[in-house]
Order: sequence, then structure tokens, then C-alpha cells
Amino acid sequence: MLFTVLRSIAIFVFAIAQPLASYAYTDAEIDQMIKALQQENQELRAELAQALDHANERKQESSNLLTEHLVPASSQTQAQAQAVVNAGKSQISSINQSIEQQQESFHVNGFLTTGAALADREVSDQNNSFSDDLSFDTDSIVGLQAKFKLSDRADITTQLVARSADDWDLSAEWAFVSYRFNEQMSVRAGRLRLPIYLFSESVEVGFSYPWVRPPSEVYSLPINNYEGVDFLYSRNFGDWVSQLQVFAGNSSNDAFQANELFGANITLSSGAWTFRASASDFAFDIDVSAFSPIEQSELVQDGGSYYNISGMYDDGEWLLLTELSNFDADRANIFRDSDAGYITIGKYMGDWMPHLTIAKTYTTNEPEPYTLFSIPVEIIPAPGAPPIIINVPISSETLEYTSTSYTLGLRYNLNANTSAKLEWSRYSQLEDTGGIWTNLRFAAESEGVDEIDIYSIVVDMVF
Amino acid sequence: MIQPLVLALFFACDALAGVSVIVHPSQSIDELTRAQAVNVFLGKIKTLPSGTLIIPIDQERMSPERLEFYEKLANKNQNQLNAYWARQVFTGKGQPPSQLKNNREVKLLISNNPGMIGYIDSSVVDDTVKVILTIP
Repeated sequence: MLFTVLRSIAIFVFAIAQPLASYAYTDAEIDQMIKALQQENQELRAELAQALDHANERKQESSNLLTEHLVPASSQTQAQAQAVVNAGKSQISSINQSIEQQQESFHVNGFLTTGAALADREVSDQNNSFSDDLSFDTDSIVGLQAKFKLSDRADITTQLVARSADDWDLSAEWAFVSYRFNEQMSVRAGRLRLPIYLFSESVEVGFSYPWVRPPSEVYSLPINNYEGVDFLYSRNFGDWVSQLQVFAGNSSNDAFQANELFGANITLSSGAWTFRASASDFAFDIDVSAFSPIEQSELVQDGGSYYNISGMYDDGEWLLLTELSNFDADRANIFRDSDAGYITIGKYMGDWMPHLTIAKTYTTNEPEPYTLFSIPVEIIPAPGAPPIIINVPISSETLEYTSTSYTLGLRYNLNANTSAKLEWSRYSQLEDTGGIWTNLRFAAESEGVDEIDIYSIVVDMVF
Repeated sequence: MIQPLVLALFFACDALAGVSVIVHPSQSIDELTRAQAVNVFLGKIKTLPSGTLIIPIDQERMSPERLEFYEKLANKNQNQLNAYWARQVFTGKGQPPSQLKNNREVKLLISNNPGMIGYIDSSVVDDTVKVILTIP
């Protein structure tokens, strides 16, 4: 730039000085000089403009941390530098845009299970029913979850679920507002799932566990949701991560009303290992008519504490799962103290995973019998004799049970989001108690039943 | 006949390059254990051992880098990884990390964001980023 200025001054001085020296110029010569001056003027303007651009660009560069380092060494020409800066800027902005799009304020996810089950006689436990005909109702379920971001700290999550067993009626399994105090601590309020067992909170998402459904011996609690609050706190120590969850609320369904419940659990995990312990306390008002084959509404107060410890080892080759639970029915009239547990071993073989589960549950105390209701039973005293009807009292004594089950399953991954599962379960050593099958226990039909086989096939998907 | 062999060798070398976990050069941390890396990328922890907040950045869903990273780091294939995330997402406990298209994008973003952590093929590492874990 300096050179151009000097040259212009020289031309100007020359133009002024020339007339003085010779005193005689033609019009053409004067025109030529004027043209030369104009040209220089233009060149100067252009250079000034370029210099201004350059200055602006420098300013932008220093204010923009993202692009600063992209400006190459000073040896590069301005034009090249500008091109690189522009390219870098557009790359960074497109990357940031892509990140922002993924962290958008609205997320929708879904899951789907469709399947068929067959039992060798009609049975139902606290959560599932099986028919002696091929039934598509037991496991078929679809769920849709939406998460709305309210702010950097608050979200609203709702999960709508429809089950074939409920004629595809839509129900909100989750509907809560969550608030993060910081990266370790958050609170959720609304309709939540009871966090009793290892897979309690994702029990409807078959894709998240190896079996067709978690072992019923342990997953026996008849209530799954509650209205209340929970508090989550996580901390890491070296390679280990711990998460504490504390909850309190109440829950109501047809059979269990005004349940007050609270509890806590802690999960420790590192690499392939996960350990979990939970303790919870429940107070129920049980409507007996929900179990009674006859209409007889009666509310029975019940309550107790539930303890569960579980462990998981999943190194991608082997899967080991175990849960042990204990129900201490200290304020119970109907429920008995019981122990339950299972152990699952599975082997990942590419897209296949065969697994075996052994599960057991039994009642552990002999409380004072509490008569719930009586049911009429038809008895034929002798062949050919007219039947007589007697009323059999169903008492808490009837609710003694024991059951051992073996489940052999195979999971096959159809793709990254879809798995097919095939399973055979044998519930045995029922010892005339009906085992986990409440329909047998409450209808005095457990006599003589020692073995029940259940066959299941499902396809689980997440999207 | 030669071409498929060359291609096979090319892919073999490509797969053997390994994956490097990278952060911004200004991060004070020099090393991350495998278990800590698993915790960060599976969303179990939100901070580095030094206590600084960190946001994990993933690679594209079916990209060879992502497949290799989780296979080697956590011995999880895509289905196992999705089963893990299904449990987090549907219990309202977490969302998987944001994903970027390729090594170049991840490297560029990490080199410009002190608060992010990513992984790239070890063969494309340069001094714009700091490697804190190499998975051969």
C-alpha cells in the first residue's frame, strides 16, 4: 500500500512539476496525465477497501474461538486464508447445527412387543394370564414415549402404553416432570414406575432384557406404578458409579387401593458388573373381591416391607443375572412372608443368545388363618349320588405356596433394534399349593396340580 | 483377483488402526481408564475424573468407528448397546449421545470445544486434539 501511495505522490508531483519545467503541454498529454492519476486513485481505493476487509476479518477471527486456529500460518495468501476460514466456519456451524438438532427440545421413542403364548392349563399370576389356547394377549404391547425439554434443567416425559390384554386401551405408565439440580442430582414428580426390582422400570420394554418376561417368582408385586416423587443422586468413585434413588408416593388400582409406599435403592456399576440393593415399605387396602370368584367386596388392610438384592455380570460374552427378594409381611392379613429368587445364565453367540433360568419362591411363615371369603364348591359324594354344595373358606392359610421353575430361552437379534425370543418354562414342585398362580390359589384349584408348562414366542423392537 | 485382495488388506488395516478417545488439548486430564470411558459414553457419569463436566459425542449409528469402539471398549454389539439404551431411555434416565458423521467432524468439534469428548480412528489423530485413551 505504501508503495502505491508513494507512486501516486510521485506522479502528482511530476504532473505539477512538468508544466513548470517545459511550460508547454498538448491537450493530449494533459489528458494522459489525468488518466494516469485517475487510475492510481482507483488502485488506491481498491487497496484501501481490501485493507479494511482484512482488518474486519482479523477482528472476527480474534472474537471467534472456534475459527481462530483454522487461520493458517501467515505465509498463506489472504485469499486462501479467507477460503479456509469460510470453510471452517461453515463446517463448525453445520456440525453445531447437527448437534443442536439431535439435542432438540422434543424426543420421541417407542417400543413394541408382539407375541404368542401357550400354557398347558389356564393360569394367571399377579401380572400375566396364560391360556391353554394359543394367545396373543399375554405379551403384546406397544409404547410411545415423548420427552419435552422445558429448559436446560427441566423436562417433561410421558409414556403411553397399550396392551393387547387390556384391549389396547391407552394408559400413561409414566408422566413426570424432572428437574436437574446439577449433573449428579435430580428430582422427578408425577406418575412413575416402582423401582423395586432390577428391571422394574423397563419391565414393559422386552428388548431391554434377555427373557420373554422377567421371572414371575421375583417380579410378583401386583402394582407397578405410583404417583409421587423420586430423587436420583449419582456419584463416581474411580471406575465405579453409584446411583441412589429414593421414592415416596401412593398408588391405586382395582385390587389395591390407597397404597402408601416409599423406599430406596442403590446401584453400583463398573464395566461388566452391576449390583443393586433395594428396600421398600408398602401399606395396602386390598379389595378382596378382585380375587374372589364371587361378588363380595371387602377391604383388608395389609402391609409389609420388600427387600431385593440383585447382581448382573455382562461382559458381552456371558450374561449372569440374579435377584433375591424377601417380603416381610409384618402388617399383613393376606400376604405371607415370602422369599423369591432366580439365577439366569446366558451366552452371547453372535446374534444368538441361549439362556437358562432357575427360579424359586415360597412362603416362609405360618400366620393365624384369616378368612377372606368362602366359595361354593360342588362335591359328588359317591358315583351316581346327587351333588352337594359346600362352602369352602378361603383363608390366608390357603395362600401358602411354593414353586420352582426352569426356563430355557433363545434370543435372536434380527437387527440392531429387533430381537426374536423363544422360550419354554416349566413350573414344577407346586406341591398342591398352586405356586405363583393366583387363579389356582384363590379358587381352591391347586389340588393335584404339580407341573405347568408355558411356551412363548415374541418379537421385541425399539424405535 | 488382485483388486479384492488389496481391498481386503485395506479394510483389514483400517480395522486394525484402533480407536482413540480424544478431548480438547486444554483439558488437564492425561489418561482415562476403559471403565471410565464406558461410564462416560454410556451416560453413567457426566464428569471427567478431574471433576470437569464433559459431553460425549458419538459417531454415526452404523459407522465402522462406532461398531469398533463399543465392540472393543465394552464388548457390546449394536443390539446389546441398543438394549442398554432402551433401558435408559424408557425409564427416563438418559438419552444416547449426539452423533456426528465421521472422524473429521468429531475431530473438528472436539478441537474447538473444551467441554466435549469423542473418539476417532487412531490413524487420523493430530495435535488439534488430545488422546486420553487408545483402544488398539
